[in-house]
Amino acid sequence: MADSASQRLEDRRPLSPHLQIYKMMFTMVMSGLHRITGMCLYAGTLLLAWYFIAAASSRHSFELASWVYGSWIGRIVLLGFTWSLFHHLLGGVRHAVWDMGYMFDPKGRETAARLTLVGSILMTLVFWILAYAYRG
Amino acid sequence: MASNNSSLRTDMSRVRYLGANRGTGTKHALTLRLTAAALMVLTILFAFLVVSLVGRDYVSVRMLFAHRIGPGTIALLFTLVGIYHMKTGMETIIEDYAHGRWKTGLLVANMMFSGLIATATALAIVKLVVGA
Repeated sequence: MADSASQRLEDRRPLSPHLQIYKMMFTMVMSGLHRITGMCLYAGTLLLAWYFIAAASSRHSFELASWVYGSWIGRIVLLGFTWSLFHHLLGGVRHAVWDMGYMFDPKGRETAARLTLVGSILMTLVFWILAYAYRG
Repeated sequence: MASNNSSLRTDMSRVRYLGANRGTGTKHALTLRLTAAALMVLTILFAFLVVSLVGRDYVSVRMLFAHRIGPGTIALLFTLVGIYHMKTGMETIIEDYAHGRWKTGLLVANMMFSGLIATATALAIVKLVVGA
């Protein structure tokens, strides 16, 4: 079957079509977003670590961290962080539903993807409203 | 023995009788799913903790963690389970896209980053709780 003995095994392996072959679809974008938000949360652990280390270190370092988190750029980054967290959380729920064998049909997976996106935006809104309400 | 062209597996792979993930795939997949299930609860609890932390000054934050065991427990569990889930998830991403030396290097870097962040954050939380 091999055309030539000198050809490397890797070159003869069948390749699956990749991103550029497929038409962009909503469920596909949501699948990609699950991985991308996961990677954002990976970087975001630095912010989590900084808060606790600063609070455990000194008044000065805590106030510096608080000032950075409270600045407008800090708030935008934290907004992205909280949305990523809730989006990834609901994406996990969606994967758990699939693991149990539900919502695999075209209609079901479209609905699941929509619920994930709408739910993540709603959870982010509720979180920020609560945060501002309890700020005092 | 000549390679069988109807299969893509090498002779050595057949002799070792192990799959692409050397038999560790099931444990890896279950780890990701079990930590995910725990995080569905822990993330909500941690979100409420963060809401109660917003706007607090230094003394008030120290008091919250030193006087009650709940906030520290939630923060520590969220950090440790979350970072373990994150490390496992990143391994899946690395194994999908990186190969050879890159794969090995990135897997080691992932282990080091996750271990460092988990240890530093956990120690900080413990310090807040014991009030040292």
